[in-house]
Amino acid sequence: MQRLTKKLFVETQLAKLLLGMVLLVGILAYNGMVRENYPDLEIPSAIVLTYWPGAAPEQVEKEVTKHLEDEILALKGLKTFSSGSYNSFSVVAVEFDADMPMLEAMQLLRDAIDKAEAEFPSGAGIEKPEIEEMSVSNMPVISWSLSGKVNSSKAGSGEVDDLLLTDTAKRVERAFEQLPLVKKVDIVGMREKSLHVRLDPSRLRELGISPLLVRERIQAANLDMAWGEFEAQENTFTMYLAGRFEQVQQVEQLPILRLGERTVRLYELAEVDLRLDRERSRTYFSIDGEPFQRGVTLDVLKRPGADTFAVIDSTIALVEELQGQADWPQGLSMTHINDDGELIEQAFNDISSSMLQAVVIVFAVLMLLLTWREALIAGLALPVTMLAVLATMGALGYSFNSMIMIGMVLALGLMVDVYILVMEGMHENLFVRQLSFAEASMATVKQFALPATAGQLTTILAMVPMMMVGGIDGKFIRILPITITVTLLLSLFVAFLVCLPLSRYMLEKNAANSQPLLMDKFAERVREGLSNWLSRWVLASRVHALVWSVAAFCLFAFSLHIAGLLPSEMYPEADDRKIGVSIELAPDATLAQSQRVADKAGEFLLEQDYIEKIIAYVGAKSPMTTANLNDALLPSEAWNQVGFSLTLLPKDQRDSLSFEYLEPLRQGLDKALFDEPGLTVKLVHIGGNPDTAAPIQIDLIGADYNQLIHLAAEVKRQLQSIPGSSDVADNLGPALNEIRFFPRHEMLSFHGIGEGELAQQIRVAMEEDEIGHFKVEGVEDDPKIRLSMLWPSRLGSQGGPRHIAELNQLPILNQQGRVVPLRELVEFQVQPTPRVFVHREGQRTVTVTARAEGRTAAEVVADMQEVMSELSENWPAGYRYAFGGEVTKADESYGQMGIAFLVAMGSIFVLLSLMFNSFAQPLIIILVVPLAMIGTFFGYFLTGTVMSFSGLIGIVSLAGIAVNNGIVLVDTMNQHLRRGESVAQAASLGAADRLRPILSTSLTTILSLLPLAYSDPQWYPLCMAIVYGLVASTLISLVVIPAFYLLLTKSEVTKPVVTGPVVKQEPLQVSETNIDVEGV
Amino acid sequence: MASLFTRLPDWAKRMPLLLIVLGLLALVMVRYVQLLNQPAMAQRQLPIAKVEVVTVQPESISRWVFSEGTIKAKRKAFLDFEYPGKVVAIGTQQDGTELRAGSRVFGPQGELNHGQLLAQIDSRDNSAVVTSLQSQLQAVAAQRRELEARLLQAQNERTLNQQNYQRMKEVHQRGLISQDEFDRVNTAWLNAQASVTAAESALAAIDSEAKSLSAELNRATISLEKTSLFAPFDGVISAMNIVEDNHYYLPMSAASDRERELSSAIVVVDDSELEVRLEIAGRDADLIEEGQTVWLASDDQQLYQAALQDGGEQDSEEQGSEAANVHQGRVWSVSPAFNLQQRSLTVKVRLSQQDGRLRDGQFVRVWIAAQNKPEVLALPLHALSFSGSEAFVFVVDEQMRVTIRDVELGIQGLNKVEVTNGLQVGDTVVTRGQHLLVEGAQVNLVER
Repeated sequence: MQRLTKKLFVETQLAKLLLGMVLLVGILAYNGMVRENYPDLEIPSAIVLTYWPGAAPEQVEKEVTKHLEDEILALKGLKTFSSGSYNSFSVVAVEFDADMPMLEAMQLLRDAIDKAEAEFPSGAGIEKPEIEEMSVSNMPVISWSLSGKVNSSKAGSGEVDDLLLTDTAKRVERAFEQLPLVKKVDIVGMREKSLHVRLDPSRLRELGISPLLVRERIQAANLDMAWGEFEAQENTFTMYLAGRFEQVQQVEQLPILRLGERTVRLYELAEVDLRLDRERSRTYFSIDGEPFQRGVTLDVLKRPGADTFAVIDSTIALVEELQGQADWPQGLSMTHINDDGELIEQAFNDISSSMLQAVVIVFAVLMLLLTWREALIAGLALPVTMLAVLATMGALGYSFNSMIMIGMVLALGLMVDVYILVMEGMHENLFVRQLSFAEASMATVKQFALPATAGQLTTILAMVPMMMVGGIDGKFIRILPITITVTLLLSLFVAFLVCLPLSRYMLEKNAANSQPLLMDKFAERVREGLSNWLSRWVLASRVHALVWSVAAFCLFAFSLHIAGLLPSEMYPEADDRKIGVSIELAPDATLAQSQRVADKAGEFLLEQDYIEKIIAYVGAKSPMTTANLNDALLPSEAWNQVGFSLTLLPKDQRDSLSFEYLEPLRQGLDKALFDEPGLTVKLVHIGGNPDTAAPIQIDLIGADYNQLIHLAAEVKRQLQSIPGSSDVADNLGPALNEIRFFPRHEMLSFHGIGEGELAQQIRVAMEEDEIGHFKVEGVEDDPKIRLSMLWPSRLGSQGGPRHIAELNQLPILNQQGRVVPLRELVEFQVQPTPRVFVHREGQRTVTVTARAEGRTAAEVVADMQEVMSELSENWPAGYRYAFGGEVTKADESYGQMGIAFLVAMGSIFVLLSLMFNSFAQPLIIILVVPLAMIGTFFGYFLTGTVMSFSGLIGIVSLAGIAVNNGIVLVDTMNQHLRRGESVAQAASLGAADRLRPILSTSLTTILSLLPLAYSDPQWYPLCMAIVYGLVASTLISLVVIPAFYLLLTKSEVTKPVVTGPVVKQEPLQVSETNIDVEGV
Repeated sequence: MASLFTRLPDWAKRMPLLLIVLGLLALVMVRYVQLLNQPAMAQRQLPIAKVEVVTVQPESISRWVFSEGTIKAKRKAFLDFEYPGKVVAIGTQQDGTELRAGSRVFGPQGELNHGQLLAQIDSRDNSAVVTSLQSQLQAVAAQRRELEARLLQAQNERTLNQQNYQRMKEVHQRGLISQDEFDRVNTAWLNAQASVTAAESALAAIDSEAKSLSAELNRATISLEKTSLFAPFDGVISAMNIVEDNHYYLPMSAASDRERELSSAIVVVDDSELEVRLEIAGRDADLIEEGQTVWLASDDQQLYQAALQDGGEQDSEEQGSEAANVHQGRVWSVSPAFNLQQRSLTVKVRLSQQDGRLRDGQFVRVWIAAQNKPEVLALPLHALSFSGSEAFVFVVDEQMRVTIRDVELGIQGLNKVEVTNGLQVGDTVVTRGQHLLVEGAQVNLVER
């Protein structure tokens, strides 16, 4: 035993080995760990996509989505689900409890979907549902733009170049998607290339040929088939029908029909050419205020959990390789528009520089508190511990993210306490008690191992319950307590096993020389004064002490009242270089109108010198505005959408924080677009929020979408009127006018046209349906053959009819080849219909969302609640509303934090009662916690800080740290008591004795937090909760703890306990100590 | 420091501390009051939507009925021989080359009962007679021209002799010339008179000869008709299904024009007067009346351009050049009864043309301007919103607030639709941005 302890604490070999190991593993971890800004949490969520070409939203809702929902509803561990039914496809977004294992969740989901699939109408052409795993934030990690150098600015100039652009974009997409870490590549602004067969309606009518006949002919002719084997005498052949089209001419020359002597070939009836599909969206980019350049944007999304840097590096390498290839088109170039790597690097640098500052500050404080040699040892121990923490976190499967660094900074003040403790012990033993190094070392271990462990343990106990908080927020925040716990445990390990033995080299030889330090001189002087002052004013009598205690609790009560008045929000705003802009036009807008809006907005944005990069999307949303799972449900490509992805300059190159630009941006856009009617402008700024969903959500639930749309419009208007709300939107969008046709069956049968025939003919006329594939050489995707109608009002360009009249005269050919106008065969009505049928939890729901700006979400919701109850009075029966979003979640998370706090206090109490073998003394110590909170609440109140989730974390952490002061105070007082002094004397002397360590502990912690607090507003509440609390707890505990001690301790001398502290059985008698700590 | 403190009185020692405490208290109070008053500062303000509007003015709006049909020349002749036989001759054009599809031919003119001879089957005697008669006729015509010249000459001579006679008579009475001289002059004049009379009678004789020859020719050609084809009217040959020296067979009985087109020997059409037969489906039939203007073109694209320019319905995005291939006609007749096979009304449209760009048999799109209301309120289609299937619009009042106005719709033009009820002249109606509006919402008008 003796030998073992000697090996551990005195001899240096093991310490050196350990040090070497820690350094090695730490550096490996530092280099090797996946780096992220925010941890990419593995939240089990997925979207289920089911395609059903040609089906209307209504059909999709009833026949696909509903079956899926019915199965999903019963899933184990399901948190929430919502769905959207569109024209031709269904999307169901499913989110499981954050703590459910991904694999299990996906397995369950897959089973449920298999079951649901059996219910789908058979033979309707519904494709197999696809499951796509989602990450919390679905933003692209890197965006590329493929643009031509030749046809730079002019839109759509040169068909050939556009075709080349499409081919190349396809090629790059395929190459990217083969990379293992890439989840998918979203291409925007590209027009697919297809073989277009565009029928000329008047030619068809003239010859009486039905479009269906043409379709049939093309499909029949476009056939490849294996014809089995031919066995000859000596050998065998395989036979193959190679009927598929390989050349445009083949399609053009396809005979459709014989009219008497004459063969009618396809080219007579249609224009056949290999060309680009109808334009759906365009993208432009601009870097450093340069004019916009048109290009095809490729947004690369990584797989959940993949290393962002690795993804970025691999795509960059791939692009270089591709561009270097001989067959890369000369005129095209890939531009790297923006990537997350840069942003992560930036955030990293910010935090690591504040971490560095904290280390420097702590080191400076150490120089004040210790001799330079001791300070050096303690100072060097800091980075070593940090490396060890990093290695441990890596081993636990975490990525190297901001949260880990924040955790380390928070723990910095605490871990340094251990080093101070150990170094002071050595100092005392070596220089004051003049022991040999080995003796001093062993003595230090004996003296401080337990108190140090106890001190760290209380902090850890305060942290542990925080790990129990569930949900996305819990999972996000959990990294903090884990990091702090690991840091504190490792600091003990490093202090005793590494610092202690290795201090031999620094301290042994200088045993002789010791002079009082500055801090010691100061402490010596104040000590006397404090002791006297305490004896005279606080400890003069039990009444005095009682008055002080009561005063303290009055102050606490007042601070609780104040805390109730504080504004609160879930997450404080944080700087974020990405801002998404979404502009929505009227639902019936055309691409040309969107382009005009985009031009105006783009011009304004180019003038803003704080913006570094802009990607503009016309006819599509910016992916920055669709990061959320629920947003993923909504159509991202529509002609009435305009989006911008803005990347701001790095923080140090602009004047203000990112979120401070939101208001000017909004106003500027408003001004730039002053003459554009009917716009909805929305800005998306994610900031530090791990949950990208809108903080304010109001669900409107009811049976009829038109009614819901109507209600939503009013709710949106009212919500906009509430100060502090911004970016109000809903997930359904305005209704589109739909023309509903009702067949006149009698007329149909008279004219000999079947309903199916009618439907098919109109479908061909209106859409560009795919009817087969055109063969190309190699492994390239075969272009689709699309059949459509060449509408006269389009004057030769692609697209559907433009005038209602044209629809009326849409010709339907009957069996005899005679034309019957559509108007004869159907009745129609115009009805407003939503673009998508959205469900939440299986019910038809419209969700109105908003962000809070200038006020907190909770305040806005509070105002809105009144309005809603007024509004809903006039609603028809069966329609109701529910609030969702941050506020409801905050209640839940706050509640969980409250429970975590109580559990923390309880377990600390248990630990302390075991240590002190008493109930009264732990009570004294625990009472420090509410007193510390006085500081936090007043500090928040005076500086106008908003109460937030991270503030709460700060308070819980504060509890763990503040308790430490109490422990050392009571411990010292007990020692004095044991020496036979009176309780009052023990209290005053004890407080005076521990003045210096308490001051130094608080000082290191406070100072180490300041750089982080001021680096980003995101961390301000968290750090300042601890800072304010510690200031208050230091001051108050020096005065009030002695008072408590006097009140709660009887003046009998008791036996010393092993741990040192003197403990005496004391009945719990003071009722005021049963403080309600819940009301935070 | 310590010495400094001891010299001061007790209260003064605590001054700084007291000040700090007081200061903190004051700060707390100020913030407290601030915090309590904060919610009062915020004012609710309803958002103002930006909208585009149009002021309702009376304008003209046309309703179109669309149809299509095949152009038929008003006159079209399918010519056939009465007997089979060998085709021996095919007529010639002006330049002497053989007639073919596309050749213009003339019909009967003046006294001629027949138009141009188009083709002939073997009937040599008859044709020889006709040919000789035709050449005789031509010879007579030449003689006549000669006689006419002779008559003119005689008349001139007569005039000259008469003048001479008058002068000589005067001179003779004064006794300046001899009686003998005078008699000679007198005889010359009488001779001249006689030769004019002779020439006139010769001309009359030749005229009657020509007449008798024409009659003879007519008689000869009537007998030739059974073996020859003549142009029945001025027109153009649209099909020539015979070839010289080939045998001609009588066609099987043909029911439809299409079949006759293929089997008749020669088809001649008169393309100056065209007719299109339309089948107008039941629902639009009531709107069609005789005399309505009709636009025709081979495809809709041209009609769109023409209609948008002509109808006064401007569409800024469509600026085509004047459509040259659009033709105008009138509704000629509307059948009073529904066609039982198609449940449609048969409507005939007629038009005349000079340039011959519309061809017989061509398939055309036909737009009938069925209704034109000159002074009505109309709105662009995108101004309309629908609730259920009822149309409504947002009307902006003077306080810049919108109210929902239910409207009744009348006829539909290409881009605009008539509003028959619910709007007055001068109403300001929202055309873009309706999706942001609810009853009573405040708006800003946007000019573009």
